Amino acid sequence: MPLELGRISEELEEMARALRGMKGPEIERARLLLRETEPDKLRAKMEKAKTSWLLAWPENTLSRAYPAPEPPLNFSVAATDGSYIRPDRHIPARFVVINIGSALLTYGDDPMARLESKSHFYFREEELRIPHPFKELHLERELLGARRTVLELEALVEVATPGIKPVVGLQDGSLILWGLPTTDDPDDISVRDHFLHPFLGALQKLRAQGIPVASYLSQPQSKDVVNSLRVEVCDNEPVNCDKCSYVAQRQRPICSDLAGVLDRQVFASLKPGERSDIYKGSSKILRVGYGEHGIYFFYLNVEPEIVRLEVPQWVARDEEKLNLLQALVYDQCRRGRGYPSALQEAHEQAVITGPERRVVERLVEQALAKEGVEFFRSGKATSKRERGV
Amino acid sequence: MRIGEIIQTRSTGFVAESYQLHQPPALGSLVKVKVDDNHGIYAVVSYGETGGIEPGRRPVRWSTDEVFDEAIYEEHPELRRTLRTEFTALSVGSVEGEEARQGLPSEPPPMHYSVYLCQLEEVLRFTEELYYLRLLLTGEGPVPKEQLVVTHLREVYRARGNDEEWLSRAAREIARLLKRDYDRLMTVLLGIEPRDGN
Repeated sequence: MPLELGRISEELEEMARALRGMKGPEIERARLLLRETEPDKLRAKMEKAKTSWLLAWPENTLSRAYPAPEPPLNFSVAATDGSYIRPDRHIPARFVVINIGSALLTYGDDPMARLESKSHFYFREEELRIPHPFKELHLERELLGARRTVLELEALVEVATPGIKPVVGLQDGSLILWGLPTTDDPDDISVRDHFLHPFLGALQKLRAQGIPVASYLSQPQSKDVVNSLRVEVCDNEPVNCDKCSYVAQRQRPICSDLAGVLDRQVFASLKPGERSDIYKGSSKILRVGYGEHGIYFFYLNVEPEIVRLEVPQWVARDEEKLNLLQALVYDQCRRGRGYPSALQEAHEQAVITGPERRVVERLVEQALAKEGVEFFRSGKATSKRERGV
Repeated sequence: MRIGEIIQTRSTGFVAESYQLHQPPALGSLVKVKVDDNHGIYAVVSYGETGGIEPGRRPVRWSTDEVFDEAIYEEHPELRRTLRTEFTALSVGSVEGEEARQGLPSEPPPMHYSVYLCQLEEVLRFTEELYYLRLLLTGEGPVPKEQLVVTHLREVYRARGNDEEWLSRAAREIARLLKRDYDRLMTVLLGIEPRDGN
């Protein structure tokens, strides 16, 4: 066992000591700013600001909290989640498996559960490559993640549609398709549309059926709201991080105290079930591609953690849908011991276990052998499997 | 009546998943697998169990002051999909056409085939002979075999309309099989002794 656990545990003690009691005053300061900042003035300042970070645009107030409404008597919650087998360059066949799990849970007079999964197998050249005139864009990394998110949302439309109304749809993670190109270049636009077109189409279907949708981020690392507060405390006029007067004088920028604070730490003051006010996301992909489905977010105390929920504009601006979503997500977390039951079950359906991965590999091996293709594993892959001593 | 589907099969018996959660066939009851139109396998239910479908997911406590027992399943409808009831049965005979034979079948029943609860008439016909009791007494499984035999004999006795003649015949058969093991024999005999109202 070459991992030096003794050494790590010594370092761990130091890490724990460093974490203890850190950032308390900074978080308090952020909360105070949240209460005292005037949204109109902040928005005006943000309009002119140039920062390198993502900002959160307040829609209403910054600090108002909304208690969770009571859920209706009869309702359903739909959720989807996905997992994949990535392409393996150590074997001769390139393929991708994406498995989408779904759950439709119905509560009230006639409780019911529908749990399903659907696997997608991609191996054709045109399936593994994203159309582009001169770049080699493979279905991997961010693009594979984007494909999965698109499939999850399309599956959500199918699962949520027959649900007892009112129904809400949940996804794990983010509704923002990170990693897509954002320039005006026509080829980039076509790559973007390749993913965004079906994604926004699915959002439109949910909207047409009056089904509010949200993505759920547990333990969010985002700092968008804190970043907006950093704009608020900046005394450069206009705010421009590239020309920061403090950096020019080799001083710590006035906003740097807030740099280590996470949004969820600021919103830890929410009471159980309460949500924060709504903020609009500022990622470039939202501006260039999402149109009327722009993504907004808020924080919710689901006990024991503060989670981030992202919703499209048509949910963010519809009080009734927003209330329903808040009530049902909070209710789901209470039923599911701190995490929505529907997402948990969708995840269980989506998971591809270690043995299943090996079965897929064996099936591929057999299929290739039948066609006379030798299943050659790279030396490294063979060595990892055999682990001879 | 179809009650379950085989999910493990071997020469001595099989494990089936019940169609209804919490509703395995009664311990000791006679069940049947139809291998094809002409062949079937008889077995006696020897064990029942409810647990999580996924091996890695252990059942946890869901009850609160207000929500307990059946209400838990209404509050968490997914439980009916993530839990399952299984039952094990020991093979005790086979049937070809109209002719039933007691003893182990020549092949295990096919995986994923349906398990049926035997109708009264079939129970009466099969239990006429008592050779199969020795398979129950020597079968594997977590339930003590004497208790399994007791439960089975009581069940059949009732099904046969409190047939005293049949029960004493069964008791004599058990006495022959356990003549060298007084304690086990007495466990069975005391267990099947008819009581008032039985």
